[in-house]
Amino acid sequence: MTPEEILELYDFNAWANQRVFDACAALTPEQFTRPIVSSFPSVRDTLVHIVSGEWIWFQLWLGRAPSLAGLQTYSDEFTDLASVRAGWAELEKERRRFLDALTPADLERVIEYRSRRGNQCVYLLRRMLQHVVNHSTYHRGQLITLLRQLGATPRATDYLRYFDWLAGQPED
Amino acid sequence: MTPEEFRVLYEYDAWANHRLLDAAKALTQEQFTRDMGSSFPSVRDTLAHIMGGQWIWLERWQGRTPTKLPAVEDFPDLPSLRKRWAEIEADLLTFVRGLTAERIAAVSEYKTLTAGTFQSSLGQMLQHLVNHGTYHRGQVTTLLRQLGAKSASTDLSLFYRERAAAAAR
Repeated sequence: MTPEEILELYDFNAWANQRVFDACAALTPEQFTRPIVSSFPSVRDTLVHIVSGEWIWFQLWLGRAPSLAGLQTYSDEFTDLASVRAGWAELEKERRRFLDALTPADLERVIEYRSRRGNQCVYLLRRMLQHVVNHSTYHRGQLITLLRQLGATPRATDYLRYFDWLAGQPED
Repeated sequence: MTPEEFRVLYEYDAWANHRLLDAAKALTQEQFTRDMGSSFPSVRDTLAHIMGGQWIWLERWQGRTPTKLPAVEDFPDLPSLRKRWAEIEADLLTFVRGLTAERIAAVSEYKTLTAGTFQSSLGQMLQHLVNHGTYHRGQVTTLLRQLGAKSASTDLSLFYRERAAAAAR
């Protein structure tokens, strides 16, 4: 992967996250936190998992190793949609500076850390970068299912749809 | 992305699909096709949509213009879906293993089922298809849990770890 391809992937990710945040705005506060069976028990918790996941991997790229308590403290701030949006926007801004500075050699950098479960993990940075967007996409899929079950009609967040949107093409 | 990076990504995609298909074995026939109110009504329909996406893109990459997705009614149960999927997966992996850098960078036109004609590089389409599968796998996991079944982690990071462990043995 080239640095340009990474930027494209994260532009897509930002666009897709904003689309799901917009879709969540249709929910009442009660629906936002209503218990529904999924990997995480509500729309709120699924959103928090996406944002916290993006945050914790970004910390690892910066050479920091947040503790479980640190992750909890970070996640606890997200009590409503506005705080989720604000927290993610801040992360996105900081991460964008990191991504903008990436060189081809950076992408081949090996990152080692001990996971919260105690496993020794070793990944190439470019693979971690792809993993994080894949992770967010997976949980965006779950969010859309929950939103539909709550009666909302979210918009598509397909990868190619992002390029159509960029080019100003009409959507189905 | 290099041909090698796409090869790894598509091996991940196949690995993740197999893990979900194995998890879906826990469902009864009725649960497999029950309308759950997701983007596609049931576990069966969502899985068939992932598979149909693979088929339709591979058709386009081979220069054809398919006009409809495989009918979900052709897959009344998990074994019939897996049987067809195994063929599509084999064709897709053969295609991906034959990729070159030139081919990945080449831009081509394709017609969607409903929205008209578009242009993309093969690389963007390849990235799209894996992203599409991942998105709908998330939905299958939610539906499996709502039906009382266990799902399986399909994180890309887990796939990398398993591959590294297998290579070290």
